[in-house]
Amino acid sequence: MNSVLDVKTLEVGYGNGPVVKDLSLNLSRGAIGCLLGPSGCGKTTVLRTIAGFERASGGKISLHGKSVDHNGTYIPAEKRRTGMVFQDYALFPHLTVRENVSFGMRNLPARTRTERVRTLLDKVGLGKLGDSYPHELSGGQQQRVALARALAPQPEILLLDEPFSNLDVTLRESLVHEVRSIIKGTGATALLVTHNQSEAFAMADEIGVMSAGRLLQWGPARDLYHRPACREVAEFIGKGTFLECEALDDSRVRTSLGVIEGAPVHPIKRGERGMVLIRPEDIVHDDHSPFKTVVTDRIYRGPNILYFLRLDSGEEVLSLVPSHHDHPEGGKLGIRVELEELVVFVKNRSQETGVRRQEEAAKTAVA
Amino acid sequence: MEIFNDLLHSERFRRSLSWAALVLIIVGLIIGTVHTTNKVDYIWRWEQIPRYIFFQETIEVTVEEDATVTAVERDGADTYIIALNFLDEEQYYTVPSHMVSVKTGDELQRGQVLAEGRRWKPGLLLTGLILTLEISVLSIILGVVIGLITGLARLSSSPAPKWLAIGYIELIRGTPLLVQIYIFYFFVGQVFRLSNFMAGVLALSFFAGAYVAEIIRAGIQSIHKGQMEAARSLGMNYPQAMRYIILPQAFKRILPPLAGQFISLIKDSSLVGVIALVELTRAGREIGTSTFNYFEVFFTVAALYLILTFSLSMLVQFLERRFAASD
Repeated sequence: MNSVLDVKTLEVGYGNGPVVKDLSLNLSRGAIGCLLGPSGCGKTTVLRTIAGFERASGGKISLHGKSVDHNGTYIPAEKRRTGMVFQDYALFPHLTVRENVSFGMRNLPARTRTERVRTLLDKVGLGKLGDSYPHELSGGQQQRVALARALAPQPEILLLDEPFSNLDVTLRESLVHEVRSIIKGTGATALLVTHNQSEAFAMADEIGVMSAGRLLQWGPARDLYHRPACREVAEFIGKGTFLECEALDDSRVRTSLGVIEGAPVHPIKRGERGMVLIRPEDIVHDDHSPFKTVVTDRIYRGPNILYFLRLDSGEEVLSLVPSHHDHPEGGKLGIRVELEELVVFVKNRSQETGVRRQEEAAKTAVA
Repeated sequence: MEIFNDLLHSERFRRSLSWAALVLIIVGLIIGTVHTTNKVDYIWRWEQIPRYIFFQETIEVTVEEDATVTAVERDGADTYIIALNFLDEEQYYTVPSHMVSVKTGDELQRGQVLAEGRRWKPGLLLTGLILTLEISVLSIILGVVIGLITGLARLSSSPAPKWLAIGYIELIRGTPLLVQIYIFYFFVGQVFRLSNFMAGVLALSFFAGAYVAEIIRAGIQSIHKGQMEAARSLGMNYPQAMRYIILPQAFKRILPPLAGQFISLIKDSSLVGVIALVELTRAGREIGTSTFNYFEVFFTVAALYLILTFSLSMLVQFLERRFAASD
């Protein structure tokens, strides 16, 4: 039994509007998972339910093989051995950094506790600030105290609620990296909640995309980006546009940019019509291509430029190119499509298929 | 004209003007008071006031009948001398302890002087002040205990403590303190055989407790709920989290309104005079009725109350500054 967190068909909230519906996920020892979704999608509720601050109205949560919230059995938050890092850190303002960190280890002998506090503070790079009060620290330092405090009692699982959202962008990037290596260094299992894709990609081994209380897809970042289970995931993760298409066989579709070939992510049958996902990096500039487009807009981003290109059909695609390929707005550009995974969402088949397949995958993973 | 305008709008000029106005108003008030008292033909006799704070007692104890001392019992500043006359009747004499010159078995003769001299005794205003202080301190301590329990009960999610707390708070806040004091004296006091001192202290404690409860509730609610959750996720149960995380933070925030409540309580203690407790205000009234020095007496009473309340304010400010270290 290597699974630390196991959530099965979780439902939170009563009445006509459950906040979280039919959500299943599984984290094995040492893994960092992430729930990614727009604000209000229920991701924080999932985290709070796992921590024990909210109660599940259906389904089951197990921590380390022990059921903590299922059919009326409810283990209170303080007995779940979860470590939580809050969005606003929730450091105790009346205690020093050292007291904050040692707070969760009150049952340990004093010497072990002092030793562990020192090790942890060194690990998060705050060895000299043990006697400071939280308000004397910068945001990034406070964040690290919160992390040390949550890790101190050696929790079964570390839960992080939007831990970087209160930091400025430059600090965020370096800290995301640092926090990941601290967590990996302690071997802790962690579940993170964020609305920020790059944070999720940089921190997590496995990511779940949530929307309107449902988990749309659970898997490594690469799968979410290149093998999205449904249109919503495809639209939420990364940039990209859809082109109308008609299947020629099980690995080729015809579009207004010609025939596109690739390894199909979802099965297609000859003659089926649908939408094919085109990522900006799938568009290659080719002056000899028969397909000419017009630059309708461009965003200069330093190392590269994102072009908005209009096809003859009126459809639009995006193209990401190194910034020395400079084309003015209104200019003509020849392009062709080069992709590996062929992501086609067939019309009339509901998007639910993706979700259902994803859930089946989750179930087999658990079994 | 330009210069005049500039002067009028300069910050320094405006401030000086304001200071001048302040001095003028205070001088005016003093002159007005003196003038008014002259009009009502009041004769100020301030020299009579000190004796109500401290006075010199003349002591002269003489033996009334020949007797033999059978016991000398010391009780603080006073000592009781018990003697038997030839008919074996007991006689009692009270003598200041430092003046005792006889011991058990001594023969006393009629007309013998047991003690003679003078000693300082606290006057009515001072004993009143001390009683006010005793009542206030006890009521503040009890009031905080009641308020803390009620405040926590008020926040409970289970209906019994919550509604009991709400009922108690509304009952106390909705009735006059004077009526509550009468009820505690005549009803509760009779039922539980309380002294009028205990009845007064309890009435004030339950009165203050209701207000303290609301202050504490507001203080606890003002602490971000993340603090409670953080403590819970670190393995503390609800009472522990309250004790170590929420209450220390809440206490710091409620110190100013709590101080206000305590100051009110000191002033409200003047009402327990109605149940025969000679606290400061009642002492003032008694002196007034016998000497007609109402003006001086009540000015003094007011000043004594101010000393109490001002010291309390100072203490609270000191505490606030000390707690501010972790802000």
